[in-house]
Amino acid sequence: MELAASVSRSVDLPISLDEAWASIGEAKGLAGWLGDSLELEVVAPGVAGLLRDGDAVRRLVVTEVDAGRSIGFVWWDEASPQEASVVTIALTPGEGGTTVTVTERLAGAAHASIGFASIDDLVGAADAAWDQRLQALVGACALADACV
Amino acid sequence: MTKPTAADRRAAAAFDALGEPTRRELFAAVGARGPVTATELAADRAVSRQAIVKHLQVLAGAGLVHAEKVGREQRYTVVAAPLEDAATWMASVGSAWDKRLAKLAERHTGGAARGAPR
Repeated sequence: MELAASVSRSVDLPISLDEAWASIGEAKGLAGWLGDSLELEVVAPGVAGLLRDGDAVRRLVVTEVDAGRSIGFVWWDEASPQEASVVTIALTPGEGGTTVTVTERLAGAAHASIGFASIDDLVGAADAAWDQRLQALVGACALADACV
Repeated sequence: MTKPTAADRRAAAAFDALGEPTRRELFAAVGARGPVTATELAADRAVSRQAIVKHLQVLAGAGLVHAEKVGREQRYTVVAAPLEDAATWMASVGSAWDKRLAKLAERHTGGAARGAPR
């Protein structure tokens, strides 16, 4: 049995799943409530972001997205990358609305629980994912002769 | 938002160590019996003394038990601080999520009671 320090919270919102998803699955929506500001291009696996909240600065890497249902990310204080924790935010249809449930799990090595040897490896994988996306974009531009 | 501290690290190590059922049972036994040796713990169990020593070393590494050499053996006692650290971490992180979810609820409900985190 896995045992981990974890915290779970839920809130009921009188809105549809689609409306709730806009606050969870879209970077602009997340930025409005997760902290004071969020630098995140898009909520997609492998994308890294930076969250500022008060004096705290946290780095995060999105690890999973189940469109319309849930997202998962690993985050850590910029000054303490060894203290990462795993967060999931899930939506479920409720009576007259949508229930948002957040779970944060502190593990000695949260990055290991999602298959990375270290936080550096996790961030490196996020960077590599962006390199691939940009290369694909450059390739698409070249094919369409649309690059400026 | 709170920053991770040495206490958070201790809490994580404590939960990692207690994730193994045999270690949880040994931790409870050390707490119940007071200063106890691996030999004494092995006498009551179908687990070798060597295996028990390894589990106790993991618990000691997580700060959950303290070992004191008495004669040729180590006597182990429980240390509660890492579990208190874990409780503190949960209270702190829970409070931070309460505030975030209240902000989310306020956006969609104008702060109505129905949107209060639970």
